[in-house]
Parts: sequence; structure tokens; C-alpha cells
Amino acid sequence: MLSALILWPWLVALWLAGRAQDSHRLAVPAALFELLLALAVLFGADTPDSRALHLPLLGYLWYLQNSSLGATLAVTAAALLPFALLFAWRLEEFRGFTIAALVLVGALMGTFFSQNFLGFYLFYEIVALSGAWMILIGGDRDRAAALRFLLYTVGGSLLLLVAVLYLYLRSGNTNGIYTFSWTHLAAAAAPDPDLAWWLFLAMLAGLAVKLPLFPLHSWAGPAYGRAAPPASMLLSGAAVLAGAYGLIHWAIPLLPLGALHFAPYGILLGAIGTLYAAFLALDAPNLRRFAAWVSVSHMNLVAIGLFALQEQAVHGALFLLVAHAVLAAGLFGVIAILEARGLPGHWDALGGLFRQTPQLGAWMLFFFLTGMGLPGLANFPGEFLSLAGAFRVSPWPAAIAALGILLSVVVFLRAYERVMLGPLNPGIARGTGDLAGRELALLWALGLLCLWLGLDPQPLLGQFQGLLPVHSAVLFGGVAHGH
Amino acid sequence: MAIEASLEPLILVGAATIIAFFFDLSRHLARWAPGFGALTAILTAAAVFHSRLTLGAGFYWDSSASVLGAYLGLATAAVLVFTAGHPLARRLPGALTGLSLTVLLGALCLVSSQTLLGLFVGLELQVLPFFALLAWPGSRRVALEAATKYALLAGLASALFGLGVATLFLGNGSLALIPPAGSLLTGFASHLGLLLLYAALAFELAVAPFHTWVADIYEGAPAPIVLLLGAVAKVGILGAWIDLASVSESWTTPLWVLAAISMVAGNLLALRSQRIRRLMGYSAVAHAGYFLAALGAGPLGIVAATVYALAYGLMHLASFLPLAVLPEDSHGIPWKVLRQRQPVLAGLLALALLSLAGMPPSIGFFAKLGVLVVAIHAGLWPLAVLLALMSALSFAYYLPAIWRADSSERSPVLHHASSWSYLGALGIVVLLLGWIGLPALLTVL
Repeated sequence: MLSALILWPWLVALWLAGRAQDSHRLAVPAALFELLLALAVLFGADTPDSRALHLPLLGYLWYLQNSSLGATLAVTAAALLPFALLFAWRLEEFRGFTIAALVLVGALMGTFFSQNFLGFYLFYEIVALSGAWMILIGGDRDRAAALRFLLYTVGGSLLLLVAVLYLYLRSGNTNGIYTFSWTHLAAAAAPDPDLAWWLFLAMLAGLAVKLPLFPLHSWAGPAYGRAAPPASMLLSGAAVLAGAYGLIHWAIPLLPLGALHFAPYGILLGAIGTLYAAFLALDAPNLRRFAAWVSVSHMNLVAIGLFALQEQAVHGALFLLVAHAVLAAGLFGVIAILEARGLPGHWDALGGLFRQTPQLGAWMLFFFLTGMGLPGLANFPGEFLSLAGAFRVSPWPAAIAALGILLSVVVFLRAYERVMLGPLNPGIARGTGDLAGRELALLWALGLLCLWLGLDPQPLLGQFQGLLPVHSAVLFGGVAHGH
Repeated sequence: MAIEASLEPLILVGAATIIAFFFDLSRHLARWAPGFGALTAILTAAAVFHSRLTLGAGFYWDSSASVLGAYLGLATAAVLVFTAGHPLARRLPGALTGLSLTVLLGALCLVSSQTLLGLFVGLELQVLPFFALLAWPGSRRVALEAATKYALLAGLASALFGLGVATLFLGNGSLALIPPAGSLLTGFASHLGLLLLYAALAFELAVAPFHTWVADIYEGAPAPIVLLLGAVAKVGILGAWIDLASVSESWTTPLWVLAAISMVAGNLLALRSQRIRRLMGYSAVAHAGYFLAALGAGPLGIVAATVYALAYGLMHLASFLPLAVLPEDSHGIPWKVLRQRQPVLAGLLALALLSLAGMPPSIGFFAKLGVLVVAIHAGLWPLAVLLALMSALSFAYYLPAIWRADSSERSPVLHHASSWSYLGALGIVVLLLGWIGLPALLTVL
């Protein structure tokens, strides 16, 4: 069952690589089936682990284990896939995009369920490579952006590998069993605090770069900004899940001491990142960059919640991850719709669209309001919980982050004004059409998801309840700092 | 008189080498020369496997030597099968086969020898044929330049090696790798001798700072010969280096110093090179660095180094086999044409470049993983971090090589032979799934 979640999209991708003519017919049903599989994993009775490829000294390389956190994130990623494909429908590179997206989502599923670190690492690298591939084939076909994205991710993840190899050798040296299994690595005796600090930094370099956390963020602008909007949707909505999941499932439980020491700095970095990325969004030259930096700003808020190492904040951060995936679909979806009408998104070429396309204007406002964190919409519960939790641990950085959220209100409103309000930009053709059937349906679906997450967050938050005893954030209970 | 079991593979290759030259006597016979050579090479691999773990007077097929020896036989066979379809083999195929087998003989001596003299003979046996091979009739003018450069450098390396052997003899009074007195390293003279041997091998292997020749030769020499040079000759040198390092485990400083220099220099130079063959040459410098990083990690490093040598040979085969299909003077990779006419080889080349960069789950990643493990195990943190950063950097030139569009207007004429697709498919399987066999290999070691 869990293996099918990975293999199904890969097999479809392989099939499409051979038979070009099937891509439009097959892509969306395949993606919906993947979503169905993910839902079955989330709600089905306990899914058996699937194990294969036992290698001496490494353990079961293909060892997939279900967990409610993994399954929730898997459903999120799988839900994003059909949206991305449908928004990419008219692109000329649709087939290549579909293949890359299927490979990316399949590998993401692998990262969420791998019990073996080496397996996680393999899938993580495949996510990076297919992400770079996606940036490369669509949008502005910017090689430099793709390479930068890949170099950041690969360089960081090799450092992550070095850190985990140390733990692997340490656990193997003590009990004689050399394996990359999560349980063995987590059971290894804790290294002394100084070393733990460095090891945690190395792991952070590999995992936080995907979010991206503040000083590691500079790839995100070009990557999200130059890729085709559906690709950015998947990268900023789905690929980041792997980084956040890696932090909470691998880095923090394996090096609890390192995490504890780093936590105050992590919160501070996240707070600076939230504010800084909001400023970058204010300064963005076009709509795509704007969406890119807004997404980075939200992800730094997620980091604050994770590093607060406190139940409420971690719940909020995870909730925000899921909500942000929906928001990313909405933001980049609106951009994709604009681009389909020949509006590339430079501020100079936009303005006064509301009268031409009132429905699009309304939906854009809806998603912008979600992004600002309006109560009742998807982002609010997550932002509120993670900030509230972080505030109890370290008030000052949380206050900086709150400033960042305030700034983002300005950012969103200003962007909206530039695109929709004022006199109609003379460069825009008079006959620019409003939303058509499929686009409208997609935005309705996303909008309902936003409303559901915002008005009734409890079912999703309930999914996270069960996981905290396993994932060790509760283990600290915030004892060491604050309280 | 009974023949020592450890000599069987060497005698087999030696006899076949002499026979191979006679194929040129008749034109009908000459066509079969590469096939004969390939068959012998496969038999040699079997013979090595048969005589594994046998200890002779001068040669010892220990576990790493037998793994590398079996690989060398198979790699030579692959090179000969490939060359049979290449235009280069139209002139004097018998002599070409004979010289290739000589290189194999030298490489086998290098991986298995237990005496310094055996190493020296092996080195000469595999160096001398390249003087002729690199400038084979039918190749370009630059090939002549490459051959001359190679001759100069190989002469220097041989001289250094001879000097090193003499100095070691001065120190130990013995030519055995494990002298009767006990240790190879007894005093100043033996340390100096070992350093000289390392320098000679570093020249042959193109380890920085002895690497300046490598790009010219990779670029100028005919591609099938570069295939042989990297996949057989260099792996032979790697084997010799493993032999030397495993008897001097107490002194690893020069190894990891060379490793660090080589990793940095190779990657930076490759990053700056525009043409694909030069890039491959400099990247080979970086890979020599990764290999030495494994050796520098002490006893456990021997295993990782053997695996790395094996993986490096395979990756070199997989990358230069498709490159040898292109015209000799191509600067970039004409992906569109290659994909249309030789889809299997195009796939193999892309996979080989990813594998060289260390992208999981290819064999190159697992080889690097082994190096990282032993380096961390030995506590060489700076080396491990440097290796991680440098292999991340290597993505910055391997990947553009994959996605760079070919700038040339003309569509190049590719060489073609029906057997190449099978070789390519075999290569894809090995690169993609070969790592499943690595642990089994480790248990043999």
C-alpha cells in the first residue's frame, strides 16, 4: 500500500515518457488516484509496513512505515498535484512538467514514510533533482536558477548525510548493529553538547534549506520566481513539506540536545526571516517574485513554530504547512491564470484589472486575505498557534515575527492595488476574459478548502495530537526555556 | 614443473597477447582479433576469480586484488568489444588488441604484486603500449601531441618510481612489499622511498598537483584509447596504490593531504572548463582525490577504496563509451542527435554523469557514501566535510553538461555499431542497480 503510493506516480511517469500522446488523458486521473491512495493510507486501518532490499550494514533500504504526520503531509502533497496539473494544462511543456511532477510527488511520498535514513536521503535527493528539472523545463527556463536551487539543496543535504553518518557509526560502535533505521539512530547515545551543536547545524543545513530558513533563503526568489507558476506551486507547497518533515522527524528526535540549544537561535532566525522576506516581497519586481517571497515569509513562521519545541507551536506550524500548501496553490494558480491571458506579471503591465475580470479579482482578494491571515481562513489558525506558542517561549523574537505578519498585510494590499485597482493599464487588451469554467471550478475547490481549514481546524489539528509522543517535541515540554 | 596458481591469469593474458599480434598477418583473420581479445579477457577474469586468495612467491590475489582483477578483465573485454565496431580498429586490429591486452597484463601485475619489482614491471607494461596507442594510425594530429606529452610524463613517473624502489631497498634491504624484517616503513630512507612511489603513482593517476597533463590527453587522444586508459590503466594504478597503502597503514598523512588538494583542484578546474572532454579529465582528478580520501582513513579505508576504484572504473566506462561515439573534435554533447540515433547510449551518458556527481541511487553515490563513512570513522572531520562540499560543487558542472544545449549548427555524424546498444543497456543496469551487489562484494572482501 505504502509502496504503491511511491511506485504508482513513478510508473505513470515512465509510461508517459514512452508515450507522449497520453499525457493529457492520463495525467489528472493518475493524480486523483494518487490522492485516493493517500487518503486510504490516512484513514484506512493500520497499514502494514513494507520492507524490501535488506542490505548488510545499511538495513532495509526500502522500509516504509505509516505515521499520522507522514500520512497527513502525503495527502497534502497528493492533493496539490491535480491542481498543479490542471493549472499547467495549457502549457506547451505539459508532458515534461507532468513527468517531473509525478516523479517529485512519488519521491515526496518516500520521504514521508521512510523509516531508514538512507531511504529518506535517496528520496530527498530525487525531490531536489526533479524540482530542478521542473524549474528548467518551464517558465523562463532559467538554468542559473535551477542550478542554484540544486546546489543549495544538494550541498546542504550532503552535510546532513555527514552528520547522520556520525550517529550511524556511533550507534553501530556501541551495539554492533550497523543500520540506518530510525529506531537505532534515535537510540544512539547522545553525543556531547558541543558536538551535538555542530551536528545539529549540519542537519539543519540540509533540511532547513528546503523551507528555506532565513540565511539559506536566497535560492527561493529565483527558483519560485523564474519557474512556471504550476511548478512554483509544487515547489513552494509540496517540496517544502519534505524539509519540515525532516526537521521534525529526523533532526529533532536524533539530536534532542542540539535542537534544544539551537532553539532560541532558530526562533530568532525564523523571526528575522519572516520580517525580511516580507520586505523582499514589498520590493518584488513582479507578481511571481512577490508570491515567492510571501511563501518564504510564511515558511519562516513555520520554522518559528517548530523551534519553539512546544506542543501548541508545533501544532500551529504543522497546520500552517498544510494551509500554506493550499494558499500556494491559490496564489500561483491566480498567477497562472493571469499568465494564460498573456499578462506576465510585471507591475508596469498590470493595473485596473478588476473591472475587466471581476470574478478573478474577487478570488485574488480571497487568497490575498488568506495570506494575510484573516481569521476564518486557512492561514489564521496556524499563524496564531505558532506565534502564541513561540511567544510563551521567547517573546521578543515572536514580537518581531508579529511585525512581519503586520507588514505582510501591507504587502498583500499593495500588490492587490497594483494589479486590480486604479485605471485600466493601457497595455491590457480590452477583451481580456474573465474566469472560464475549469479555472472557476479549480478556484472554488481551493477556496472551499481554505474556508474549511479556517473555520474548522480541529479535524486537522486532531491528526497531530497522536504524533507528539512519538515525535519528541513534547518530550521537552518547553521545560528548558521559558515557562 | 607445476605452475603457481597465482600466476595462471598472468600467463593466460601473456600468451594471448603474443598470439593476438599474429592476427594481423591475414586480413580475414584480423577481423576476429578484438573478439579473440575480449574472449581472453573474460577468461582472465574467470581465472582471477579461480585463483583468488592464492598466495604465490611474487603475487598475491588478496580480496581487493581479486575483485579489481576480475573487474579489469571484464572492463578490457568491454573496451575491446566496443573498439571492434569503432573506425579506429580498421588499421592493425591485431596489434591494437595485443597492446590492449598488454595494458591488462600490466594492470593485473599492479593490483596483485607483492614485490616492488613486480609493481615496476607492471607499471612499465601498462605505460609503454600507450605510447603507440595514443597516436594510433587514423587519429588526429593532436593525438600525436597527446602521445608525446604522455611519453614525457610516463618517463618521468617511471624514473621516480625506480628511484623510489631503490630508496626503499636502501632503507629495508628488501624488495618485498612486506619485508622479512616486518614493516615497510623503518626509517627515513623508506619514508622517502614511499613518498617517491606515491609521486610516481600520482603522476600516472593525475592527482593534483601532478595533474597538468590530464586534460590535454583526455581531449587529444582517440576516445576508445581514453576509454582504455581510464577504465583499465588507471584502475590498475589505483590497485597498486591500495597495495602500497595497505602495507604502510601507520603513515597516512601524505594520502589525505594529496586527497584534499586533488579534490579542490580537480573540481575547481572542471568547473571552469568548457569542453566536455577536458571537463571529464579534470573531474577524474577530483575522483582520484575521493579515492585517496578513502585510503587516507586507515585499515577500513582499504575496503572503501577498493569499492571506489571499482565504481570509478565503471563510471569511466559508462561516460566515455557514449563519448567515443561522437566525432573526435566535438566540444559539447549533441544531445538531440545522440538521443535520436543512439537512445540507449544517450541514457547511459546522462546516468553516468549523474553517477559521477554522486546522485543517489546510482553506484557513484554508494561509493562516495563508503568514503564518507570511513573518513568519519577515522575522525577525519575536515576531510569528510570537504568531500561533501566538493561533491556538491561537482553538481555545478556535471548537470550543465547534461542540460546544456549543443551550440554547433551542423549535426554531427555519429559512429555506429549494432553491438553498442547492448553494451549501453548493460552499463545502465550496472550503474543503476550495481550497488545492490556491493554489500555482497563487501562480505567477500
